[in-house]
Amino acid sequence: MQMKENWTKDIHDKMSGMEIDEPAGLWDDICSARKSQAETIVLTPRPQTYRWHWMKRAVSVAAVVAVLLTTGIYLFNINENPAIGETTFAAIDNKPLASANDDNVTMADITSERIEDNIAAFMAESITEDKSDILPDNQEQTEGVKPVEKTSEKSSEYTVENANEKTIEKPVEKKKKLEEYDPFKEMTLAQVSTPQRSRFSLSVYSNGATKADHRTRYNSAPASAEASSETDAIWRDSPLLGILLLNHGSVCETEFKHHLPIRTGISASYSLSPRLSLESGITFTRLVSDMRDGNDTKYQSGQQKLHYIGIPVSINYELFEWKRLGIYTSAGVLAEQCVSGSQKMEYHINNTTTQQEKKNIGTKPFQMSVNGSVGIAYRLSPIFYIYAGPGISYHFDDGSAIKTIYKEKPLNLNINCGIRINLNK
Amino acid sequence: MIANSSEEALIGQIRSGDENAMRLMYSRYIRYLTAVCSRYISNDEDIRDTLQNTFLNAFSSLDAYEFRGEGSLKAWLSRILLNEIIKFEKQNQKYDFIELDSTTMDTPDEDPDSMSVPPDVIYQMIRELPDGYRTIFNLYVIEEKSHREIAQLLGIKESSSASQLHRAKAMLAEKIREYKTEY
Repeated sequence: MQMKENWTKDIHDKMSGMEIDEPAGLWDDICSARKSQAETIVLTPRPQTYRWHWMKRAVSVAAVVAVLLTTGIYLFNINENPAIGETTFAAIDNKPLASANDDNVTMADITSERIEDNIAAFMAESITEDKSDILPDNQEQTEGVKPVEKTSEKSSEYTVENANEKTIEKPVEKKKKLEEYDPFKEMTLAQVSTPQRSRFSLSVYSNGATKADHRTRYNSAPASAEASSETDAIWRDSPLLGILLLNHGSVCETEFKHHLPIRTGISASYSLSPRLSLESGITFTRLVSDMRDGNDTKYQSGQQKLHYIGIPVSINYELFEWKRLGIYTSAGVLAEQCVSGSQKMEYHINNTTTQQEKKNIGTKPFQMSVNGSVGIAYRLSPIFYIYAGPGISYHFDDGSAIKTIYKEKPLNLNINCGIRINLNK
Repeated sequence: MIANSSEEALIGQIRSGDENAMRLMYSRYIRYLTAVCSRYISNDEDIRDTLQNTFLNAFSSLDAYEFRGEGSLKAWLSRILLNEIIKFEKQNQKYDFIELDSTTMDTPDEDPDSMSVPPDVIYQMIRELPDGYRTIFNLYVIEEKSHREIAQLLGIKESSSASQLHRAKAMLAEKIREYKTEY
């Protein structure tokens, strides 16, 4: 119970019993509204603005991918090796992480659930689907028809796919042309003409960080009014408020379980010197958190999913190289924009599920982080490298009320691993 | 006569379809509920709509009401109203709070003397607080919600709730001091 100053207590007492005249004619309005309510049940559909949002997001994603690919092609062309640009796409298509054998490989595959499965297996680290939680922030009361919202989560993946259908069209076409292309033959020629390693490399990688669980126990302040335990109907619109009010005076627990963040990405690096290189690209991150808040009988539980698109910029320094192995360190920043977020909430009052709702998160936080890592790169073939190594990253407060693993644990240990393709090495 | 009937009897009559009992419930609590509602919402039309929704919701949910002693009907209606107010606020307000730094927060202010200020003056002062600040002040000071609950209800950070409350109290204290110098 909060400590109160005398003057605010005085204000509390004065306001508690205050009465003023109601708006004129209110009762008549209520009566007529009740009549019309009885006659027709009007369903107010939720404004379909989300479609527009998704379009905007799809266009944004498409634009980012297009810019990156175009920049990549442009840079490779500067290097006066026309084959490299094309090989880049072939490399993406051959990505071992995505284990893509079908012809219709698009970049969406890299970001899809499928790659996440592969990553999980690759890292030999299972992502437990245990219950966890997250505080519902910025949640808007869902109004109107629920089924409309059911599409929200699907559309988050749809966006990426949709966005890439256009942008990747070209690479897929190119892949067919490249079927006759022999990278090794080309490489030999290149090696003769340019004995130094390529200034550019491309990598597909994944990243997993440590988990964070968080649990707080609190004693809900006793209600000033008499507590009643009426169960449900009245809280249809705002079961959250109902849970908060009904739980007054009882011991409640908030549990947060943040799943392992999954990050995949593609990056290209530019050699500044034989040992030093500048790396940038695009990353896709998925944060999943579970939450349970309340006591044994009245609680809310749910899952939050956030998807980020990020642009990393980092400096890599190769410490030494021995036969097929190389050890490097890396330091950089990562700017990530949340492009979609959804929350699925269930409200339980006295063991009955009062309401289930799924909604998009309105706030799209921008997340900055700095990171450093060391890693070992192993040369599988003259152009393919597999690399892995621990890293540490610090995530700055994004200023939003959305609870994420980065808020619980701004300083995170993680494992980076992936495939890097160095051309003309 | 139903005019003097207890809340329990009143609810019983409303459940049996007695329109007069409905009207009586309305008249008995509407002035109190209007005072609560107008502490949060400034626009008259919005106050009217919120109160109307409150009663429509209450009448359609009477089955869920459980009598818990005299006063529980009033408390129940207040909660439905608060529910409607929060819904309204979330639909219509963008909470764009400025975080206060700790030095600003720590500035000790002497408590203003509110004792001799009449309730209706205090009520007006609260209504004059900026949007958002007013909501948090009302929820914390008068409805006695914790910052944690306020943060959950409004979808803001707990620290925002605390800093805005501090600011709201400072504004109100200033108004009270001004009033005291004038009268």
